[in-house]
Amino acid sequence: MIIEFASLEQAKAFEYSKDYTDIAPLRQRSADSRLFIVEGAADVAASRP
Amino acid sequence: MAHEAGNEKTECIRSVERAIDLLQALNRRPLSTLHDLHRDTGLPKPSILRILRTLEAKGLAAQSASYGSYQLLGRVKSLASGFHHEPRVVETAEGPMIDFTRREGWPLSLALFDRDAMVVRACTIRFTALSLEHAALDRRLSLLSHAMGRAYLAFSARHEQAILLSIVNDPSREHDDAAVAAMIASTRERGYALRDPLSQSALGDDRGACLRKRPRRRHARLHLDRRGDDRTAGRDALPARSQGALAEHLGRPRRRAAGRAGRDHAGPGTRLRRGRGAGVVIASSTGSAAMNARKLGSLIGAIALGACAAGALSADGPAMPKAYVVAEIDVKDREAYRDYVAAAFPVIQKYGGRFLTRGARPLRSKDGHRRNG
Repeated sequence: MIIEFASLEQAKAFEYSKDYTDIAPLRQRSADSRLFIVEGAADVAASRP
Repeated sequence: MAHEAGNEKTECIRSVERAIDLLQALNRRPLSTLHDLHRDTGLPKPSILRILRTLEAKGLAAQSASYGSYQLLGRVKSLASGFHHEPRVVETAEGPMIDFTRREGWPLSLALFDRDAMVVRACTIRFTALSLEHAALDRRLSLLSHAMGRAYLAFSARHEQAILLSIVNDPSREHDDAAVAAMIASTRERGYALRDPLSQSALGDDRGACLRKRPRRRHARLHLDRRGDDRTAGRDALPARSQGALAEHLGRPRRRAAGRAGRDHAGPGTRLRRGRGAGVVIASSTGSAAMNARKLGSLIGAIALGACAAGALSADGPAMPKAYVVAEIDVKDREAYRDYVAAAFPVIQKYGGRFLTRGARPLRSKDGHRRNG
């Protein structure tokens, strides 16, 4: 499952929000899960020397 | 698939060749549309349809009723069931590679040299969600443009390099000898290879490191090293300078990937630190300074680290890099999980989150590329 956010800050704001941390235990009880936050590259070519 | 060597073609049965190309293309995705197959193989759509009918009649593939696309059936396994020879290095490497991917979530591939390219013989994509590729097995990777090929080429002995370059030198394409020499020098200096930024990725964003054959040992042994981890196993697999450079490269802020176990609720700092280390794995066959160029004997393979195709994910994005929350979820209690989804959905929307994939069914993005979750 992949969810896109406008920025890393926004994705973190979501993950660490009280809204979400309140319900995260529901996920942990009902499923084995692993979450990653991945930041996209702004300029793909420039990031590869 | 290889469309070169026109004069050799006359000896081949064209339709068989096309059917094989199509089978290979079908292996790359869980579901392929007619257009996907056309794009991958370059075959005309009517031909593709005729081959697909044939594969259906032989019980090898089927049209998926619900999505209108095509998928392989279990019977394709019969096509390779007589093949038992697996090189010892693949056998030996697969266990540690899978362990690493399970632990860190990072996909790895192992490739061996074959004729004029590196061929992926083992990959751990199926053990992680951090890859948009469905499978990389049997991909042929160029010695000049892919990280694994470059690593193999750069760490070959000088005389082997000359032979390899004469093999891959294609007179129809211009190779800048000076650029190749500079690439080899910088790869040796760095201790690992990077893909040509202009080349299309077959494996997402890859880094290649090398395995080396050691005559006195019966078979290769892998050492995995993870930066930020106190274990010393494999710490000397790379000279310290190269380790630092690789870790620094993987740890760039824009390439940051935070990983954690589902139950682990550490603070944000902890996650990012862990994430920076997560991508670094060095494979060596000896546990001593295998990447030390002077000591390198003949190479037997290269190993690549695939990042999660961060480039592909953000290629259509604006200047501000987007971020992606990737979740691997194995539902244990359907009822309770449904409650969680119902509660989480409005929160995700509140923070502007957009689902690219949900569950096992791939969705299409607006630019038509399929994304697997």
